[in-house]
Amino acid sequence: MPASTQQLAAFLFFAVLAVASALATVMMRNPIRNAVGLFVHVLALAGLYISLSAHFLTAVQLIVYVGAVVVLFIFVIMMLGPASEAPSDSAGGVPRAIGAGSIVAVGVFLASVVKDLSPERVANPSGFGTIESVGRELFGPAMIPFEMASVLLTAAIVGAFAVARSHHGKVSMTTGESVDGSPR
Amino acid sequence: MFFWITSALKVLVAVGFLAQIGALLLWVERKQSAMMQSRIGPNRATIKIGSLEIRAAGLVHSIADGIKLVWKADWEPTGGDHFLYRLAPIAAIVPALCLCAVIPFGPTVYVDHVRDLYDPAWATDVATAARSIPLQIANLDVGVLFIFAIAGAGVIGAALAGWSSDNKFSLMGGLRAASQMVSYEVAMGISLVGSMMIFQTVRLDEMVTWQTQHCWGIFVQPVAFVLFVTAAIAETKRVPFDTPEGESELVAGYFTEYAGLKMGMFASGELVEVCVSSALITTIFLGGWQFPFVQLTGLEFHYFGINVSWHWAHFIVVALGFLTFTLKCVVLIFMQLQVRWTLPRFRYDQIMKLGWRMLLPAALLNVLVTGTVLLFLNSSNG
Repeated sequence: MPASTQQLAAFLFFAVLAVASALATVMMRNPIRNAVGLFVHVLALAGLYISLSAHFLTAVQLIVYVGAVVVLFIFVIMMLGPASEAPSDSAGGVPRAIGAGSIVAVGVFLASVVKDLSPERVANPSGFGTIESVGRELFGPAMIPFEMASVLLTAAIVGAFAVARSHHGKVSMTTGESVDGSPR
Repeated sequence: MFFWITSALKVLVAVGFLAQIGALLLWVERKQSAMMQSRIGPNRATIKIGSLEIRAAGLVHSIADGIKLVWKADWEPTGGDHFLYRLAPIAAIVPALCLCAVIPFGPTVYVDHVRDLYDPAWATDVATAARSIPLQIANLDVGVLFIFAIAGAGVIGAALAGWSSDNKFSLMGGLRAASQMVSYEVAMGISLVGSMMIFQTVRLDEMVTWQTQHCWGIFVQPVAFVLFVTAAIAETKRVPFDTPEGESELVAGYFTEYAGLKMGMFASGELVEVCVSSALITTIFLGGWQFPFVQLTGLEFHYFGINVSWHWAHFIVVALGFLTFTLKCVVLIFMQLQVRWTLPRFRYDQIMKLGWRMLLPAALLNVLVTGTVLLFLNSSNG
């Protein structure tokens, strides 16, 4: 099953878009533009998932990352206002060298992995990537990791809540004013 | 080739229709508000051809508005982010237009058999199926999830508009829009889980088929209907959920600094959302394109000891289905516009409380109850 021209064109389009928007995400100075870069990156990744016929993953990617993560980033940047602007980059030679070294190391590792991949293309099993097949995987063989992940997320939410509230003493949920007299 | 041509036609018709719906709904809204406030409403705009004066019951006002929006000075705030300022209206309206892609607005048309009586074998016959037109732009496997995936992107337009305008009122409006839409999306998504469990599918065309064979979604999921309609109205950011614009507090909220067609894009995007959410409610809760007691073969009434079977040609069923869908949507659009002119605006904290403390728990409870009942029914059946 060789790749058709359309598949190749779609892959190239989304791959270039993904890399360009990822660079924009980390290199732009303005934080809200970083968030918009991330938004485009997530869309490009969703496009790549579609070309891999992982339809359910595409939908989940958009719902979670566009609908929640990017929106929350933008929300927080808007809340912080000008304070969210990054101070000028004063990183010295050593951090830059470490960064460049890591990129080279990851590149070499990826190249070695790709080199050993078998060139044979395997057809997708029927129903691959549909809600039904992903659901059967999640609630069948992957049941325990799936449930453990949800427990982990719940713990993270409770932890974040505790950390965020502990500095303020007891605060009324409705009025936002201190209840036990401790300063906010 | 047949597929590409019919698909392109469907996209052109649907998007072209939705892009114009703003002007039409604006007129409906003005006339309706005039009716409720004992006024006449817009009736002065006139097209004069010789001695002939065309007023079209105020419809000319929509044309006048369109011309005004196009020719208005395209003023931009000097501060702020110009690139994002221009991007924001596009990011607001494109998701709203995309949403119509998965909504079925009629039964599948089999071009070779329009005069015959419907036969289920057509769907499996390769030659016939190749020349069939499903009245739905894209029949995606993820169905309803596509709606939520795209609707989530709609928030970003409002938020970017609020940020890039460099105006405190806009920023407040953008913040309110983002938090409100994210909150109600959660309740909206979970309120549909019960329906998905009953229909046993997320594809919208299969949901309509289920409702055609059994009964409308509103009868098996009445709670979800109320929750979903409430959340959908909140998602459109219209009264009573319009704190993002709240003209008495924030001038015009997130689009305060927009003029001309850019403002028009936000305004018509809102009305497109009203239209699309009505179509979605129709599809999931009101039987989609099904006319009561009409199957694909014709009228089938077998209740109270009365047995009526009246078979119709395929094209009559298709036309009736399309008209029924349109009619149901129009009724729901009227209802949503009516809500706007009936209720006062909620306070911001009331909106948050309604979303998180009432709609969300009710939606979760609905999932639990639906699951329990389904489990009980399945175990008692076999």
